[in-house]
Amino acid sequence: MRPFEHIFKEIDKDRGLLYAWFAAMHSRVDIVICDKCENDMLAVTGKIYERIAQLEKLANFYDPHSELTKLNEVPAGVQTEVGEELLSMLYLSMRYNELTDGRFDVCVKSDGYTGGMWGNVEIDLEGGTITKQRYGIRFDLSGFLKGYALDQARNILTGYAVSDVLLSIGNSSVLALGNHPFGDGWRVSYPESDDSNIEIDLHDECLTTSGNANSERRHIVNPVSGALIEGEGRISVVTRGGAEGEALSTAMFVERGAGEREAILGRFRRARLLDTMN
Amino acid sequence: MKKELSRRDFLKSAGLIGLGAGTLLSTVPWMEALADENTKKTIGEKVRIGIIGPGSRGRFLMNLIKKNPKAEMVAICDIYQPSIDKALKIAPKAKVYNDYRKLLEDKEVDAVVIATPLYRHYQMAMDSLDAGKDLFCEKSLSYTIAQCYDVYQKYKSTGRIFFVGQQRLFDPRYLKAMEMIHSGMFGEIQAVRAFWFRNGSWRNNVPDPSLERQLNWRLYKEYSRGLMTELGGHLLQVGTWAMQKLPETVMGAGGLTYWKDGREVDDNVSCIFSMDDGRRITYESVISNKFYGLEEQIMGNLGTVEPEKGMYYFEDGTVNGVTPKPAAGFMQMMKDVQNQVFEKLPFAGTSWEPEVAKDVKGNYIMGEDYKINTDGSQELINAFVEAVITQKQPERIAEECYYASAMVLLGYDAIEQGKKLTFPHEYRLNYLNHKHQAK
Ligand SMILES: NC(=O)c1ccc[n+]([C@@H]2O[C@H](COP(=O)([O-])OP(=O)(O)OC[C@H]3O[C@@H](n4cnc5c(N)ncnc54)[C@H](O)[C@@H]3O)[C@@H](O)[C@H]2O)c1
Repeated sequence: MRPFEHIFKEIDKDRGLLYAWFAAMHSRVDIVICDKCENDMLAVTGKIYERIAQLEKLANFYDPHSELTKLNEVPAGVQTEVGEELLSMLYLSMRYNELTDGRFDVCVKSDGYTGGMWGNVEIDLEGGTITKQRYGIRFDLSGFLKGYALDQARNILTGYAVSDVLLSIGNSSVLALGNHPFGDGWRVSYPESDDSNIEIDLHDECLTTSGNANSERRHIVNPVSGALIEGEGRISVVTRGGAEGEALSTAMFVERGAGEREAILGRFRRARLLDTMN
Repeated sequence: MKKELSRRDFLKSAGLIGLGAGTLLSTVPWMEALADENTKKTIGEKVRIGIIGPGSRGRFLMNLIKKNPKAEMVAICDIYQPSIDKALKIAPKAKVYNDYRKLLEDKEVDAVVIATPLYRHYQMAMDSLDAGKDLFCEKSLSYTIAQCYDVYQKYKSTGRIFFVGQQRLFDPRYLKAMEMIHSGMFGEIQAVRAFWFRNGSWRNNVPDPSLERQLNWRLYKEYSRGLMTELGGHLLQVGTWAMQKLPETVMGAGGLTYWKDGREVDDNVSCIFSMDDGRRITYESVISNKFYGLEEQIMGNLGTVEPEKGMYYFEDGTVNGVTPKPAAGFMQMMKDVQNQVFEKLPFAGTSWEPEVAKDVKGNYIMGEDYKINTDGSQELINAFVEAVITQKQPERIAEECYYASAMVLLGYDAIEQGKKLTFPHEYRLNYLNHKHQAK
């Protein structure tokens, strides 16, 4: 039995469209592939499913058994060996923290969080170790993982030479590769305000949205103030990669100053900020 | 098919193998007593146990002790012949005493289990510790908070091993649930709603009316504190374990509303325990309606745990491992494609949230196939035996047990006095948020 559900539609004698969906990362994953052979499409979907499940196992902040949790539990001052993948996710997170002037920060769940936590983290890429030099540092990759997973999925798709795909993880992280069977790129719409939608065409890029779906569901911490960001609102960015999309959208949601936003945006190649509710 | 759990399986299913020592020590340090590397060292040792009050619970414990090859029951003491006769069937070689003080003089006895009616616990526990015996006392620890405090101090001053019958501390469902709770999976625990509802008289059959008070001691205030001490302690201990916080105050109300058969204790009670920051644990028990059964509903801002049911739920309705329905927007796209239309796909936005269904099925704490085969009592006994052998009191056991009893007794007083009571500073231990202050 496959761990995901799917529907297949033939388009013409050379092409078909596969829609598959499953639950992962506390959310849902939807994937549409346009290609020749149904079995190949199912196989690549299976690989993507496995990869996402693997990432979730590795870096789920809330899973007491994940490698991330184990790292979070290591006390300060202890040099810890960390698997290659987790190490590179954390390294990337650190880089994005710099690139966003601290606005994107996976350390916000640390005890006595003050910002600037990364100054107390030593990542040794060669030796494969991490040392936290301050008590209570905890990494929460929840706001990073979906975009990272999109990048991983893209690698798999390229490996299978599948080129026309729309992949959404929880609607907030979307990867569009190649074309819709009857269009140029992929056209998606997202809410601009409560009663109007904006349409956008995506060409080999990611659309990432950060924000509060409603005023009750706050979950993004402002690294500058340390407080949860209040109120409804959201912001979307279009980027080449998924991980950078997560970093940038979070940074744009947190940072409301136009000048600061522009400076940060300028550091992400080919990134666009969409005008959305916020 | 019922799976038998080995100890290793038990620790594993409770999520306690493969975790760093840090986790073990910080959230459930007492499990260390049952860690493989420790129990291996004590193979071949034998603890000699005396049972005081082998009534219904006492004999239940005897059957568990019997399963432990490191323990042997060398003596029993009771004042009621039928209890002695039944106990001898479990431990035929045990010496029989009618006076517990004689049992305590017996040099062959290393440790005692006290399972007598509540009002007897205090003197028996104090005397046991004074006699140099390691002590397993059934809950609740004593009849008043002051007495509980005395026993705790006696444990401290004698340095004996000291356990109370709080088996949830070793119940795999609770251990696993607490691990999840303490990892922050459900956010910060805001409230715990604990209840135990039954529909039954709570009476024992009495062969002769002259034995009524002796056999139905639970129903009379002279011997028992009713539903508070008999049921409440298990649930309140779960509440503070989940919150890692002890209450400041308690309010309560109760009454005898249905079983008006000459008993004195309430059959309908309710208490509110409040923390210094306003978070609460409530406990309710009614024994004339069993519809809602038994549960501790542990409520965090991100989710809820119901350990008795073995389930947890997320506020956003997420169910692990369950395939969602196909998304409407994508289904529309599949249709559009058949009509050769290039249409927009309306879906992107903030993170997808499932509708919060009222019939949320929830997630299994121990996995779907888990069959309950222990409530932790066996492991509690085993841990006690290990502790007696190694003479190492597991961390936090005594304190968790002390507070379970102290809280129910304070709740009882609040009900009786019809007042909001503050947890007396002189009966606080230096434990969690509590600080002791002499009167
Ligand atoms: N941990 C649990 O889940 C759990 C469950 C049930 C009972 N208990 C506790 O166990 C204790 C006993 O409850 P029970 O249901 O077995 O009651 P019970 O009445 O069945 O047993 C009490 C026994 O103590 C004996 N006894 C009374 N006075 C004595 C004395 N002076 N010396 C020696 N023996 C004496 C009685 O004759 C009887 O055999 C209570 O404190 C109760 O709260 C705990």
